[in-house]
Amino acid sequence: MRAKSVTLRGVSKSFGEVQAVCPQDLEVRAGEFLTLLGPSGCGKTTILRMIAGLEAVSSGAIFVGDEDVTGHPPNRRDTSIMFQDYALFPHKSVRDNIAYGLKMRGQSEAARSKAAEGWLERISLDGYGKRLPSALSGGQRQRVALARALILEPGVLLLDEPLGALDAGLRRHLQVELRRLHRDVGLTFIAVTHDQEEAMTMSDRIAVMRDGRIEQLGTPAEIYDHPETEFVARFLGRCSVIEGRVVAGVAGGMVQVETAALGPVFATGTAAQGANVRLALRPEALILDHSGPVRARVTDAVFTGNAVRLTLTAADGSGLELDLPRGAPVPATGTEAGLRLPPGAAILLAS
Amino acid sequence: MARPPVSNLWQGILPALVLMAGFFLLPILYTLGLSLTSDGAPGLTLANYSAFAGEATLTDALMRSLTLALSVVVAATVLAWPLAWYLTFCVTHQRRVLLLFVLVAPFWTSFTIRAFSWQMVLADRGIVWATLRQLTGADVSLGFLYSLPASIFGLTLFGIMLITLMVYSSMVTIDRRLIEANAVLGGSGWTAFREVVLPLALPGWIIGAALTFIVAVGDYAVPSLLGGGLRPVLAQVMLSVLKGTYDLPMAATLASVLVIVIVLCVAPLLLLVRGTRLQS
Amino acid sequence: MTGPITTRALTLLFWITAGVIYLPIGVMAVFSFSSARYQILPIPAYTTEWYTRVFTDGQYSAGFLNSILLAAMVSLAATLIGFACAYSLVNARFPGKNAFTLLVLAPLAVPLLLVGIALRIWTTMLGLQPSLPLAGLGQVLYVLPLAVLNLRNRIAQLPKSHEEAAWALGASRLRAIMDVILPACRAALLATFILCFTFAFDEFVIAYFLTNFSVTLPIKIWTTLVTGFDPTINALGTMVFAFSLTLGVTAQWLLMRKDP
Repeated sequence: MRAKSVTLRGVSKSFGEVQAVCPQDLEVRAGEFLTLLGPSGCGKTTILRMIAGLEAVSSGAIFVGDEDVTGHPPNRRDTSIMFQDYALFPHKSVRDNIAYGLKMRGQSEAARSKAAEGWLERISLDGYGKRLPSALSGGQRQRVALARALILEPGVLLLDEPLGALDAGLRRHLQVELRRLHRDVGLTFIAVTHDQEEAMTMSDRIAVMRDGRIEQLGTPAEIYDHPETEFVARFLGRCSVIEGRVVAGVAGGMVQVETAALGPVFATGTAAQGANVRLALRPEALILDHSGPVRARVTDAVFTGNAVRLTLTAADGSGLELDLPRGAPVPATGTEAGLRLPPGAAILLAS
Repeated sequence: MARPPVSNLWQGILPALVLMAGFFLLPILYTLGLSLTSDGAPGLTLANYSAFAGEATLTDALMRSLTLALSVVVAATVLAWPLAWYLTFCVTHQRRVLLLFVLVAPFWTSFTIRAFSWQMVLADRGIVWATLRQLTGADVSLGFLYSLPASIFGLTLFGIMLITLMVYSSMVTIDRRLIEANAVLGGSGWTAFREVVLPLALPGWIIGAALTFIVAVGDYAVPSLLGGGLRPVLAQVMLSVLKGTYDLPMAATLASVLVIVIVLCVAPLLLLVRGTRLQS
Repeated sequence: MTGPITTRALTLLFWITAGVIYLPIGVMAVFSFSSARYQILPIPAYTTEWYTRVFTDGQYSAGFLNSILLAAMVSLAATLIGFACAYSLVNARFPGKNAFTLLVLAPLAVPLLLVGIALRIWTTMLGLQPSLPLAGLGQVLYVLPLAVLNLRNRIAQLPKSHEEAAWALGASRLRAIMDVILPACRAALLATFILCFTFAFDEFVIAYFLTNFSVTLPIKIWTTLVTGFDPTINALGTMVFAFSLTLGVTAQWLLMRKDP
């Protein structure tokens, strides 16, 4: 199967008065796994459905590969979609479900059977051909839904909240499975999710969306280490935010910022001298250090499995979060603790 | 904006539209229109209506229909509210379905059969009076059958079923916590009814009463079988005009009178619905 | 909340009401087996002669057949038209949707007498003679709201993603309806058919207005009642009642079952 790229040019969607998606450009490279990530109502599902052809665009154009598919029906776009509830036809057998797309293309009974059996084997469900979807578990149904989509050999696979219907344990397992499947088939995958951990585990790139706009597009590492806005910083991973004023630029792509909470801080990013800025601090950026230059009062300590998360209040009242590795001594709530912030650990936020 | 990639398929309504427009809407409009015309004079005229108003037999029939319908609504309402209360508050969920079925099931069957069976039962030789005669030894037979009260009785049973069902449907959706709140504030069961249940279940009653009125004012079978032919209701007159004298314009006029009566009596009820909805 | 005395009083009220409603039918059923012509107790002798008469008397069996055929056609038409209408009401957008919905449901709120008379006047004006097919047309109007309501409820329950999946896999709109919607509506379609059949079978007013000579069972029963008392009516009435009740229960049961 040959992977295709997907390009959106000025694509927007309005439902009556409400604009769900503002005019967007997006370039999804052939063969990559891109996730649209954001809270409910941000427009990510609408974009996916427009790519799939289930929703008409209000403006703009959609290209799959080099072809303008904007007006094409959903089955003539070289895309396949897998729905959140899998949408398996309850009155058809597993095999008939998988072969449905081929039947619509007019393939013979024999050819369809053969192809369906082949896929049943690939998803480790051979022998299940005659069963009804109601007889399968959630994970098995997802595999059937994937087979049904992939049997048509699309250039792009679209996934709407692929792991939303599963419980936490199964979800983690299947995150890895999906990533493996992506490498195996080598297609372009575009997924939609509100779960940031899922996005970071599975994707090559993430597009973080808010209120109908893509706020930032990049690899998981890029977005995590260099969030451009406070929204993105807070949506992916945890962070504390403090305010300050830029004193001077410093070599190595940093600026020196004077903050009320932590004193002088060297933050990564560029800004004009004298500008009022906001800085994001990841929990792993702050380090507990008795002899550290900054002091803050511990207000809470929470056990999160592989770390202890301390919540502290800085001198100016700002809230801070800090992750302590397992085994490190935990300061008592109400006591003062010393903190150290390595240079560059704070991130300058654009807005 | 581009065309949606998947077609709208609104065309499914076409057969129904043709049917309803052609054989429901148009006939009724035509009938109303016909009542405004007369063989004698060209153009629109109210001659038929003045003829109607002048003819005592016709206006009497109309009054009987109105009396019948209003009495049925009142009588059915009196019984329906307690029954609906019973089903909502005194019976478990599982039994409710069963009891509702018990109440509603007979009305799936032929109206005619039911009316006729009452005719048999209430006749002089019927079981009701025969048993009473045996018990009291007196020659009791109030001539109940073939009178307006008998028609009212027959239709009230139907009205009870309908209004109970409608009131129950509204009553059962009332948030129980409102009633609990009433009790906490010191109210009694009667207060609960007056302040909480009545206003919220009223829309259901309005719909039930309106439908019952409409059925009763236009019913033919029950008044014919139980009411006798001496003092006919509007429906009976309409039938004899259509099948007997075959006077189409008069039939159209009678039909239009029926429509007008229904609109006049039901419209205020429906405005009440809007009023109560706004309130709650 | 409701005191025990009140509860007992209400229970009594319910069963008395139910008793009154069922009384005449029960009486009719009992006396359908009595050899006496009138309702007198004690019953002189038990017999099934009235039941046999129903089947052997030509006019009753002709009426029965007419009713069955007519009701079957009416229900079929109403179910199909209702399904198409319900599908579009649920899934399509078009101007005047609310007005149209009111129009389709209107027969529920209009006296049958009115529908019958208006239709008779209208068809006479068009030059159409009263006949069984014409009566059938009127009856379709009468049961269509039922069909639309039932099927609209059922179709609205179906997840939209199933249809969309079919489209994404290449099914045309009609194909998707056949492969996805219809199988899921099987129980509802059957129940709708049976419900419409029950109402059409028992229907009297429209049939009476729109036919002259061909006769359905309700009309036959009616003319018998009017011309003179015949105890066969007891048996016939009981049978029709049992028949309609069975159909009604079956339809309700089908509608209440949860489809997968």
